[in-house]
Amino acid sequence: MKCLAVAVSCLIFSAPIMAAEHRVRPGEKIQDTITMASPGDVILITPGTYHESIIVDKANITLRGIIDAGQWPTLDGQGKLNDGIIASGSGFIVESLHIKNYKANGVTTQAADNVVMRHLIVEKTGIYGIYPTLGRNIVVEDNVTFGIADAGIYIGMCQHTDVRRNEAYDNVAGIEAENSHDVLIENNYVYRNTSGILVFTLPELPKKTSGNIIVRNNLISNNNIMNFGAKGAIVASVPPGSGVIVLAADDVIFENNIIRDNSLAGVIIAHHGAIPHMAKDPQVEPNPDRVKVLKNLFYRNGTKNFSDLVVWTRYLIKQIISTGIPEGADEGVIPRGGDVVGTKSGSDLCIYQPESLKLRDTEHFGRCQEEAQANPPRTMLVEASKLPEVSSKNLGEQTYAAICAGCHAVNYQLIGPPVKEIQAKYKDNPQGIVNFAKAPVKVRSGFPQMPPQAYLGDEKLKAVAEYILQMK
Amino acid sequence: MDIIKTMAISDLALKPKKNAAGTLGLFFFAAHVSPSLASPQFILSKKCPATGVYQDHEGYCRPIQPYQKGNSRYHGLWKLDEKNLALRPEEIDLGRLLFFDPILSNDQKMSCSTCHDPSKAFSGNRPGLRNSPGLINLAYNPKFFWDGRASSAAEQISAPLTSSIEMANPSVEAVLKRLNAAPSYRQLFASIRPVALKNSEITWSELVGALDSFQKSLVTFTAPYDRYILGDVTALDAAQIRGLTLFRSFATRCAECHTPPLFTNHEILTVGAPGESGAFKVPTLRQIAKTAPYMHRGAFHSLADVVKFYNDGGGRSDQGISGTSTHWHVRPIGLSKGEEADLVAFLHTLTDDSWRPEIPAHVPSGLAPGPSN
Repeated sequence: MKCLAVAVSCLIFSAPIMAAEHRVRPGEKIQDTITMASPGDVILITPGTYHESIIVDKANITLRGIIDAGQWPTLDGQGKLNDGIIASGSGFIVESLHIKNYKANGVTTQAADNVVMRHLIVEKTGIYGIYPTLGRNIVVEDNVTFGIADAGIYIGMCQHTDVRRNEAYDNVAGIEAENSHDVLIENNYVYRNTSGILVFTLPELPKKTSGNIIVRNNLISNNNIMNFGAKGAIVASVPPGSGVIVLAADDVIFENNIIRDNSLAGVIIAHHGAIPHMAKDPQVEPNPDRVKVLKNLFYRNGTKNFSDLVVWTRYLIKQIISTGIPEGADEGVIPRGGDVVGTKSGSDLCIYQPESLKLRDTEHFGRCQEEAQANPPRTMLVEASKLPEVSSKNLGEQTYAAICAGCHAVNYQLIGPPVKEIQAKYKDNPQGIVNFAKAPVKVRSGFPQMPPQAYLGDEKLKAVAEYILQMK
Repeated sequence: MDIIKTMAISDLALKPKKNAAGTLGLFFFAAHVSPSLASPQFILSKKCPATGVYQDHEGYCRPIQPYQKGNSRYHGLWKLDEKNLALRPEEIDLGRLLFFDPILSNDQKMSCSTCHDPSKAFSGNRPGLRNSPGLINLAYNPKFFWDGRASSAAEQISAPLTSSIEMANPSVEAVLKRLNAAPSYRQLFASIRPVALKNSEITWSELVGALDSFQKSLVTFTAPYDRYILGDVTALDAAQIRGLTLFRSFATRCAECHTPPLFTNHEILTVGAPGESGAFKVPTLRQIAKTAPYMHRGAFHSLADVVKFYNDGGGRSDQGISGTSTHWHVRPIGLSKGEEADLVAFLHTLTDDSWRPEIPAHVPSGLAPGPSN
């Protein structure tokens, strides 16, 4: 299974580019190397401690730690820096780093596609540990996250994401998928968090739905610790003792998980009203629909011992201090839990062999007929080739529209000379345009000198020069 | 008789001039106009204005923007869907004349530009009322007005025309009647119609189409920020880069709602700004340095004050129009004074100085074009 997964990810994410390798040593800045690197390059980080916030705004960059005799390269924010790594370039791969003590996130990608976040240790960050957002084709695998004040792994508004073989403990939330579609959460070990796995549709975000989320083959146990989420954060309202919470998400499947010893409930399937003071968003449908709890192993959920009561009491006090007495608290001060707990809302919900489980408020659930999915997908990832890419023909046109058209029109003088004049001067000589654009000189009086465009790189400059010469 | 004469002159004037060189977007003023004819002659420009659009090979004006969908070589936070946005330059120019022409108001004193000031990225302060939102990248905007109540430009345009405290027309029909009585507008609208419809009356959809084309032509994706994102590392200085890093960090969560490259996510949200409780549209931050005062009621006079407001945790409001309370991303941030200054420095990188909307010196009604002040 592992071999297959690795093969798939290699197939999808290997970029056919001549990659250079750069090596960063303690005392040097990783950011300096990224600034000079080209798309496709691999940056190797040798063991030692680096106090940096890293930004990767280039495509196809790999950040890879070298682990030497058990010594890891460590990014340490020392509780002062905001973020460990922010990347916006697609094809970003980050692996084998220890990231800790950042005020915001450990590693986050922003709108990047084809991302791999692998083999990381992420410890003590103020918001999320590992956080891809607004991307497609994301792999989060073989990571350890702990001590995170929100979610250890947070899948935010993504599509086509696999979260597999991760360990998450001592976080407020272990793994969370929020307003995301086509997410596989598989083979993870999620324990000793306030809540193990959250599958949420939250209000007031630009993506309004969640769907097609599979949670299978995970071990979800003992998620009973005190909620230490920051005041005002939604996650600060998550009740301790919850193995899994589905909030307003649709088309969620649970199968073949071991879900045990979660003191409030194994799986809670809730509508927005169950979370105190949840914002209302008219575009978000607040009920969980088409959630299937297939065959899982449930054991000793909803059973509180003394320490659980202490944690629960502290949670209640914190809730009342920060947001007031929860509205509609018909659950009572210490709700009776169970293996599966509903909130009397949602449609097309079902449980396999419900008579075998300790249930609460699940009268509206039906029976799932099947024990497991008939044809479970191996991965949610889609082939990279199916994502829209830029051909070299389009590249010229797009670069022209993005850069050149600000100053050049086809037939008339704008800020620079018309394209027709450029064509006459550089007939059959695209390289002449490239050379001029890299280091322009003042040609005519009365017009500003063209700013140098060398930063675009040879590929784009050549494409745009050829495009300009064939424009009509 | 005067009308016929004007039409005849106009038809001549409408013939395209091959040597129509000159500054982009300028129209032509006929020198010999009889005073009794009131309005000078206008030729609608066949060139695209200098407001972030370029002319494609078919003559249409399209946005200059590098954030096409799926274009992973560029690194905006959010790839823009490629819009089939092809505007006719003549229609943009006609919309521009209408936009600055007080003929659209009942008392003939107020034009669109009275409240949407081109020197302030088409925003405006209206003491005691909600500010006029800036008109930036409206081509990508699914919701109009501060509360997002209109979903199309047509829906939006009728409101200020008939609002009693704005243009105060009894109806949109009254506006059309006035336009149809103006020979100059009759001929200008005729000039962009198919020949068979030359003599038709100006319709509501034509008026909206022209104003909408002008507004949609106000595009900007060519600020220093964009150059930096495209790879020109010299486009921002050190403080501005620090500010950008803060802006996109979850320490501030600015970019969660002001999401690049539009710098808005189009949501209707509550931040608890002073002046009025409720939920308001997340405005774009492009050209933001030009649009003071800030927030929907102009509560803050500088970007530094706005940044401080958010750094201190925003305001609280539980009576939002859509029933929302202050957004869950708005809470105390804990930035130092230096970091606040870095954020302000970054916000200035969203100003596109090449953006030069052309204010007409004359408008077809013969009235004084706005802004009047």
